[in-house]
Amino acid sequence: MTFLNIRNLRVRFMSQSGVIHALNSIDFSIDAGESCALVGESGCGKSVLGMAIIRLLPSNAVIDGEIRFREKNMAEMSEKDMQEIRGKEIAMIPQNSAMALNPVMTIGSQITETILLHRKVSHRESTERAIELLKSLGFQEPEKAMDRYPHEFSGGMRERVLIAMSLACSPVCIIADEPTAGLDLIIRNQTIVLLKEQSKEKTLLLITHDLGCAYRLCNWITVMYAGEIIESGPTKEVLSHPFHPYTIGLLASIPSAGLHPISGMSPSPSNFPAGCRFAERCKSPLIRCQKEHPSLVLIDGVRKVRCFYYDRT
Amino acid sequence: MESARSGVFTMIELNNISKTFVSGYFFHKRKDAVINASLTIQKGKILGLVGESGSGKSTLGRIALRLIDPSSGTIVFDGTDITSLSKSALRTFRPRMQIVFQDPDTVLDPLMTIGDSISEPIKIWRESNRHKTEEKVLELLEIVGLRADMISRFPFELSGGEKQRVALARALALEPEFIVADEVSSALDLSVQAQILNLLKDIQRKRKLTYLFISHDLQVIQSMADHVAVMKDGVILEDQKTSDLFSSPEDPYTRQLITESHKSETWFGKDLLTLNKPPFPLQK
Repeated sequence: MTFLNIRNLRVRFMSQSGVIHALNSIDFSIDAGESCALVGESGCGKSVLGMAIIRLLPSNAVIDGEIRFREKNMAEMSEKDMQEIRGKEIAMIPQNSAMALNPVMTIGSQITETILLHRKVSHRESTERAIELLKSLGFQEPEKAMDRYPHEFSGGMRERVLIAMSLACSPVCIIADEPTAGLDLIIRNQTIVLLKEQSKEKTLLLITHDLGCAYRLCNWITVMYAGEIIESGPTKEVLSHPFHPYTIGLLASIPSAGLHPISGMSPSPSNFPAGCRFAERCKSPLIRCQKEHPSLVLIDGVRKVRCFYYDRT
Repeated sequence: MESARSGVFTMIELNNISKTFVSGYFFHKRKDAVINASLTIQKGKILGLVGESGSGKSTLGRIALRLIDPSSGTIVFDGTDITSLSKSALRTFRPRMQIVFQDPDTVLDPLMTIGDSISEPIKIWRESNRHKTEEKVLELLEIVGLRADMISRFPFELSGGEKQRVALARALALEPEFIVADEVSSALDLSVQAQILNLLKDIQRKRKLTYLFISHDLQVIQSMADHVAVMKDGVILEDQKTSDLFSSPEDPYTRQLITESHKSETWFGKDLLTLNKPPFPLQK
């Protein structure tokens, strides 16, 4: 049974300067217990997809399509039903730990808040649970940490607090948005190990532009470009034998792969070209790439790619 | 380092720099940000300074430009001791040294057009003629690979990579000899990071600039720097040629950094090297 199944999802933002097409015909699914990474450059819509799943997009967003979570369509659920799912079933680790935590609340009260909201437990029990969580995430003195404020912690520790908050109600699915952004190498690696441990037997959707992080945490990878999925498949295969020219370019721009950048920049989301959205930056575009829009085709049984080089129709 | 002490070839020399920040009521909180650090950068070279956040690498970079005054130690810029120069005496050195910061969003004045931002230093230091200033700005935009029509745009209309290019153009406006690049690429996406780093390298080669390249990313440092200094808790642990540092790191911390950086890049084997001959057009 597919755990999370997204069909033909479209997200548009109505802004003063016009309609911004953030996501276009997204088809995406994860099985229970799997881990999937969403990668792509900033502005490609990966965070919007994460937010759309748990319906935390701003009010000017228009969502079309289906988001099926355990056969229920979340896109049509009432806000009250969504509250039951958020935190309890699907938890989110938001981007940017410095902004996500409330600066005037102690770490302890922010973690217990979630527990008290979803579980019928006493204050003391929730505190115990929070301490236990902090301990499992490597806090030396969890009791003391409970009374501290976010600014007293380093970026790596704040990230751990966010992980603790997301785990507070033992959700079955975690959506982690850029958990390693802005962290140092060593701290980043520690965070990856922690996430790996904690997300065992859970479904993990990792939103990142850190390919190393995606490689170590997820067995599936989905590459997004300009609001579309352009390639997906098993992480190892996609990263070692990328099909789509964008994925190839992305991997070649890693410093140790020689720092070969992709020329140009991604198209503006308010004005996408009619043809392939990557055609302008592609090294060897075909004539039809300018005119027709490629669709996501299945190759090798498990891998999908959106490129006319692989589309024989 | 010994050979660099000869003087003429040395761009900047930091000798036994320490910096203690004092704060709190009655100045009871003390933080030793930099402890007895010495660095020498030869003209036309890139020195990479690597370390985790809070290691004092940015403080040291700013001390090199005397944006922060050191608690002790001396700064020698192109043969002149600038440690205790007065503000006005330092003015003659200012155009020769520049800095590019990490976060392109906060660097540019949101209410100034890109053209105004880039021309500001030129107006102050060099040219009062409007026409010539504009010519210079257009030339700079071309160097950093931005279209000429950017001149009338505002920062909010630009992407992160474009803003970083503007910051770079602004730093290059006075044709400096020495640039401190403080985490210039860490806020950028992979492909944009590669564009900016290549641009920095090109400009450095063409203009024979000297960089102090600060980053926490060992891979980036490896691809950019001639020399690497490793910093931890305010202390410079080692300072070696890039190739030597990566093949035979002396300090255990450096070794740890290198292993940690390899950990996440395990798929970087032969597979990826074939990328230069893309498999994709052949697939047809």
